[in-house]
Amino acid sequence: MKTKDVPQDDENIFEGKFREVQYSVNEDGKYEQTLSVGWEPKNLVLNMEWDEIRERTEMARELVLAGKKSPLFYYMNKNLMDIKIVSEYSGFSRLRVWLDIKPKYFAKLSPKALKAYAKVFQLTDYEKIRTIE
Amino acid sequence: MNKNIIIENFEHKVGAHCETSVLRNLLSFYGIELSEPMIFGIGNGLFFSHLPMIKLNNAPVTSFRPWPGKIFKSASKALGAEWKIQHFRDPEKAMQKLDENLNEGIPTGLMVGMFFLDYMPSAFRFHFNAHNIVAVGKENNSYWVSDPITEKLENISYDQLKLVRYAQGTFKPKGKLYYFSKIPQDYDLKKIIKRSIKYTANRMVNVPGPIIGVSGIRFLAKRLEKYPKKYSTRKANKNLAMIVRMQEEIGTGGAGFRFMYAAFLQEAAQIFNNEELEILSKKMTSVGDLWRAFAVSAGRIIKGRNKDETFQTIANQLREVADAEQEIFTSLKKLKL
Repeated sequence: MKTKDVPQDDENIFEGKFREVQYSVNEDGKYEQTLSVGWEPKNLVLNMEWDEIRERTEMARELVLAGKKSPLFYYMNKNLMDIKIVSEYSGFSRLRVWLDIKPKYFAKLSPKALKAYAKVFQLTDYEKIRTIE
Repeated sequence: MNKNIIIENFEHKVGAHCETSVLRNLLSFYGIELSEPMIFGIGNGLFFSHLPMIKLNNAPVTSFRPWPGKIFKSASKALGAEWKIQHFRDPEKAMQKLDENLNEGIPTGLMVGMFFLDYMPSAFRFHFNAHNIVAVGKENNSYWVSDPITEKLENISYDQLKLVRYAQGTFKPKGKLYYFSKIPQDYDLKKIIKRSIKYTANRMVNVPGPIIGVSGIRFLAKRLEKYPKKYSTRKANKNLAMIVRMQEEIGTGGAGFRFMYAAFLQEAAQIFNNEELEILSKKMTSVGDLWRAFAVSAGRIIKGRNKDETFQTIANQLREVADAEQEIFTSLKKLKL
């Protein structure tokens, strides 16, 4: 890849925070580092992944609104987690997390347990975990 | 321990890949000036494997890099450096040890998870736990870190740093930190380059079985051909997208590290003043271009834009890649340096 061909397909993936290093060949035939803001095929596959995550989160939201799952289920999906990761971050057993995904068990949680879950998802006000955004 | 510290002589340079750049920056601090491609080359960084039986996000794993930590270890060992790696059961102790190192002026490598790394753009914040950064200072209750993929030093709070050092999921860092304890006075770069080229070439063309090296690329081509029959369009596209992601993901420098390896071969050509290495570097660049063309075609298939491109045609593109890599690595194996 020549330096002049290094793609700059900006889809705000980097949010303007930094650019990515690519190795490319300059006019003298020497390799150099070039900064890139993105490349179409690459943006495409990354966006695909996020679309899927958003889709999952949306589905979770609907299940919570329908009263079939607890808000914990929504936050778990929103944070790209599964029961195993939530269990590891919260310190609760997997069985416990699995149960707390059910509205019936979630409703009985103590403030202390709610705080522990809220901390996993970095919610500053732990009461927020009772509702979804 | 609330003293402000900043390790002055640490030069933060960006790189493509975190592991190689962290090593480059650390070595440079101790007076060993090597480029990122050189470290990638002598760390035997070039790799390929396709593992359909292992799934990541429900898609088969295709990897363009060795196991996390391997490049660091291979390159440091080849140079004759010695280093310490520590894990801690207690997060407070992990932070305390970091503070001690910073107090002594030791830039310290940290393995961290990306998900809670709050200075990262949100699109990159997955539960990926093998990211490397170097802690270079402490100010009030936050740390200055050199993250080789960001353009400047980043600031991260004590609590957040502790959290990412204890990220959960696959490859838990468990507070891993590492730093150099002995730096070689002298090393024979020519000898190291020679050895690593042979090693990498062997791994690419001589490993038996279908999953590693050039045969892995051919294996992937064969699997790709079957996707339309085997899977729904959605699933086939998802698997294909995963390959492109691994190939072009941040940290490869483009084309699944092929451009970085070409840059390494070019540097080696200068060091040995060897025409053939220069030619092989150019060929490696062409292979990188083929990988990029594959990604472009894959993208068009996913979007359903072009009916002339099918899983069959991109499989053939990969076979072309495999043939070209086979030729390069066979030549590298035979090369007299």
